[in-house]
Amino acid sequence: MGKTVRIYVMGREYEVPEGLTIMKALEYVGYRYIRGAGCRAGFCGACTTVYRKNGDYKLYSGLACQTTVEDGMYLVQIPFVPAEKPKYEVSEIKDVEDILRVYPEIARCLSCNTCTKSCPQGLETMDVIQSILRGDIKRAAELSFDCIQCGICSMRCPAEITHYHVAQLVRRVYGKHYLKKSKELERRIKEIEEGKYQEEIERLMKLPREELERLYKEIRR
Amino acid sequence: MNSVKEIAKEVKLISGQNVFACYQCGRCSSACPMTEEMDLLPNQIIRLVQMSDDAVLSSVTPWICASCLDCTIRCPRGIDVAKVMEAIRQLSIRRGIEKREELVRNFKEMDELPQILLVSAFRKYTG
Amino acid sequence: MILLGKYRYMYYPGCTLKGWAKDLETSTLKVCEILGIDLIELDRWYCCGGVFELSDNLMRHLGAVRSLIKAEEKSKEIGTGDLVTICSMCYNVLGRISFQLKKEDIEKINFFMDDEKDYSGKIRVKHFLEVLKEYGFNKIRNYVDEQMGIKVAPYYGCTLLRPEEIGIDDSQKPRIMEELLEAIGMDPVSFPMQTVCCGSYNSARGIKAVETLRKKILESAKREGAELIVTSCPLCKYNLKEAMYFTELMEMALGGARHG
Repeated sequence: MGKTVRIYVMGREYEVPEGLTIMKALEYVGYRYIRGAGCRAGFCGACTTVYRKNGDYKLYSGLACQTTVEDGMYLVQIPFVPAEKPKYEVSEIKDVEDILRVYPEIARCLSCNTCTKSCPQGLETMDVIQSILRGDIKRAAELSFDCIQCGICSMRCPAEITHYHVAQLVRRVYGKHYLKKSKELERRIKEIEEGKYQEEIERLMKLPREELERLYKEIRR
Repeated sequence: MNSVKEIAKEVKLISGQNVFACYQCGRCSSACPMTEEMDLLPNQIIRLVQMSDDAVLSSVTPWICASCLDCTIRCPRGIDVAKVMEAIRQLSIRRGIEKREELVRNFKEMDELPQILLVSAFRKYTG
Repeated sequence: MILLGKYRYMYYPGCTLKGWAKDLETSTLKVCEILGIDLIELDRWYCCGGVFELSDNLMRHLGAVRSLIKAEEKSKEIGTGDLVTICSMCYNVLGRISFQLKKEDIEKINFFMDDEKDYSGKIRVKHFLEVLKEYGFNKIRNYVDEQMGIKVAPYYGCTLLRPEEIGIDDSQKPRIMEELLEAIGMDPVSFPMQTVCCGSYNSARGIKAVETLRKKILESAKREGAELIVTSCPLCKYNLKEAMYFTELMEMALGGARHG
């Protein structure tokens, strides 16, 4: 065994090979993920972890599948973030007034910036909320585009805002009411509806597995 | 009673105001535009804080106060009465009383929602 | 380097002017265009919180202090430390932060915001009415097309005048809006309740006092013969229902439509 580091999982000490991700390290010492692990590639946001390091007051957060273990790391998995998800009809929501009716608590933002500091994606989360509050839907949608909905911001917010749900609503509103409609997309949808590809799909559906595999490899080449 | 005694102390800590300077002239109450809605007048609130009477925590008066400072600028003893009201609200909030549910329910029913109204109301009625 | 005129200020709009009170911003900017006043919006700014925090909870000053830090950065670029607000409540909060917050509290806030530069207290917060006064009411007279002579009652409310340390005029007998109204060809009408609170955020809880005050304030103005009430506060406008922004009236008087 090569070099190792000491980590503490929910207070218990373990020795693990260096260079592992937190997720691999947890599995190495015997934990099995039955929740809180998804794509294992940094996209789905399911494996949120919070941790502190030896001699450092800062509370860190990251994705277990993307963060490498360090010596003296105290960590815990956050498999789920509780958050109310109100029902709404996107076509009826257009302006800041409508958004405030669904999520009035965004008016509680203190501009403390804790959400921004905690975001494993490095997003300007506080500015997302502040943009919504002043009705700048475009800026909010663009700033939050890379959100993977891990929910850490919402666990740390002193104003109890659920940023990731609010931001998703804003992106939906932006797409529905503000983004330029794509002519190409509309044309393609029309083609599909008119059955232009129907024959081809039906042919593919009837193909044997070997033939499909051969076709797939051919396309990938 | 110990916990009762604490009210004067805690109000002092939160507001920085010395309520014991008050000599009950009543100018704060005569200036206040909201007294019709209040169960206790502003000068009575100050008196109760002096006595650390926990009746201030169940009075509606601090929740009606809109921090307009008409009392504050008129106090001959230099007490910022609005700050005392704020401290009583904070004391109530820190002890678990909030107007959160009532607020959110109202917001969802209101036709127009000026940001300034939501922001201010949340600050004043919730912790 | 931006080329700017003689009258240039940094500008903090506040959330409401970008949303519910858009008319307050658009009319102000139009007036500025006519008079040759440059309001340069901060590149980044944050909600002021609406109400100045009166308790020991320093966290609630963060948004305003953060905006003042952004103003200090911007001031180097445009060479003025004057930050203008139009909304009365933003003026009150930012003004109290810049003029009243204790040094030790600023230090604590700076320490907490380790991701920002420190706020060093160099910003002067001004209300747009003060800017117009500096510009000169007499000079504004030259831009007036027609003496409309409407009987206009200026409603000040609380946050422009109190506390006195940051009040833009006498806290009990203000004149600044009357002087402006007179300069733009109106017939200003002072009234007894012009400095009384409108009930403020109490309307969020449907408190009866707001409705009572609304009636009293409107009646008080009408008794003095007022045909119109003006304000600079979106929340006063919301609560009074029958008021317009003083900047909208200015835009009319200065021939905003003619100026395109």
